[in-house]
Amino acid sequence: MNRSFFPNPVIELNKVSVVLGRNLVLKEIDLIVNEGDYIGLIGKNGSGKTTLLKAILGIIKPKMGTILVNGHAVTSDTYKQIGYVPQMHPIKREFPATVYDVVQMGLYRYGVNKSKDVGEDGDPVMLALHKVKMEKFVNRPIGHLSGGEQQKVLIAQALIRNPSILLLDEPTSALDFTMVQDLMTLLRTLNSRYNITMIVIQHNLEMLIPFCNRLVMLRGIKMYDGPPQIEKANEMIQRVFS
Amino acid sequence: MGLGETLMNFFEALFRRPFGSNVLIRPFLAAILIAVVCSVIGVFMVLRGLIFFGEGIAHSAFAGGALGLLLGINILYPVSIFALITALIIGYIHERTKLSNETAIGIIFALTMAMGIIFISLYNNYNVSVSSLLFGSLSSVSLQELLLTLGFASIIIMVTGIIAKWLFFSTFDEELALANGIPTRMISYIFLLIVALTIIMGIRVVGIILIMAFVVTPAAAAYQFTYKIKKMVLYSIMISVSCSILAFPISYILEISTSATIVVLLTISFGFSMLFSPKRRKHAIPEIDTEKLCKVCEEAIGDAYCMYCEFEDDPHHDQHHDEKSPGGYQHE
Repeated sequence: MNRSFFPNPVIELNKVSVVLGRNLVLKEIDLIVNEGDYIGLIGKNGSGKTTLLKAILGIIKPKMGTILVNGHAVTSDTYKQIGYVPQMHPIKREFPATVYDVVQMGLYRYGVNKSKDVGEDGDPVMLALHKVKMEKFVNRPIGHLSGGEQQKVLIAQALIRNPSILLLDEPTSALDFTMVQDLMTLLRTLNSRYNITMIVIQHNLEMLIPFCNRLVMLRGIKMYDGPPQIEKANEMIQRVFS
Repeated sequence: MGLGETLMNFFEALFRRPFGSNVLIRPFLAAILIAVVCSVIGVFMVLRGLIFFGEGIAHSAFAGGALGLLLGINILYPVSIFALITALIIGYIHERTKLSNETAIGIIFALTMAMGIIFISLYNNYNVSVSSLLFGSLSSVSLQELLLTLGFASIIIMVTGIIAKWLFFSTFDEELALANGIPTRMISYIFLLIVALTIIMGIRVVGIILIMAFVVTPAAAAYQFTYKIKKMVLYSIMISVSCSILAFPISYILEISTSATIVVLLTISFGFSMLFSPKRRKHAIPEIDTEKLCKVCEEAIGDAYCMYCEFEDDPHHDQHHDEKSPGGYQHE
């Protein structure tokens, strides 16, 4: 782990409000994410979790407030510093793309031949797959993998540009218990070994709390931001859902 | 006249006569150009589920063609205007109202067909022109039309080549592509316009009824054979071009419509692709005697994989499955 003693903020949200259509989805959110943080983001459906991630990515523009990523205001180029894994959609079994192709897509914005230029460290696609321990699946059609394996491939795609921040939107929603544990362990490893700052949306608190170092709960506003204690979290959930 | 003599006449007509006076070479080249373009665009249309969209554009082009006949002008202009505007309207309705593409197309499809019927009834002269609008007139392609087709084909292939990677990414997952900096909205609109241009290009030659077969069938056949997008495009072109080439002597001998013959051959090739697809064969793997399966390798049988190897840590690379006998996975 390579964390400095003094916290180094990588994402700063200052009074961020987001309006979608006529709905105020997020209201005056203040949030500071420090380098190396592993934040579990929880809340009911429609509480603004995904909207918050998309606002950080620059896909959705806030109505009010400011968002800084690594000290700079969010622009259309912010995606270069952030890896994003959206909620998983079913992939057609016969879709004509291999694992290699899917991971390589993460470089398409940079130019078509980027990954062919093997640098000193080797092929970036293979390096990204190595980080998620999926190298041996490299030539498999993406549709032939299980849900957990597909999710790891999408994480490899997000890692191919060596981002310092990783945002994951319900990465375990379609997985069984053992796959969830496997994936959460992988995310923890990425966080600690590569010092990647993480924000993970997750509904399963029991799986989330042992792995994250901060818990943030949303319900349009920020309801809770603190250590991941199951008692406190449960208390907040009671308040939110009652 | 015997079959051999007819074929000799065909090849003489195709290759020995000078280009300017050759009545076969122009349709031949036009068919090849349309086959190449439609098969490339068709791959992305099949993957993006835009077949009905293509039908909608083709039928809006019918309204444009009918208006052209009514006004006595070159139908290319109203066909182009109708097709391009329809593509943009469908894209806009889908984007703004969050209606499904099918709903947006269904609304426009019915409207443009109704307009086409009104224009035809006002034209009050259902003749060869209307018929060629519906079924094309490949055999009477002029040099000017051939050059126009070449121009359209060059633009379509060039633009598709430029956006191909981004288009493929947004086809795989639009949200993921957007998060990776791909301008998915722009790519989507560009592709809709490319589809419209493809249909404008092909409609004069193969007609409204048959144009979608040129787009869909080779791509759907190629889809059965590979898990690589580049190979899918290549196979789609190969199927489409070979069917187009083969259709000429067949239609010449039988004295039938060439474009309809191409469509029939494409459909037959699709039937064969379903029968011999390695993807279909793969589904049989779980029924294979597991005792005979390779326990360690990750080599493919065609495009299929040995699912029993997944759990091994040390895959080997210099040994192969026996492709001829899926049940007997043999090491070399």
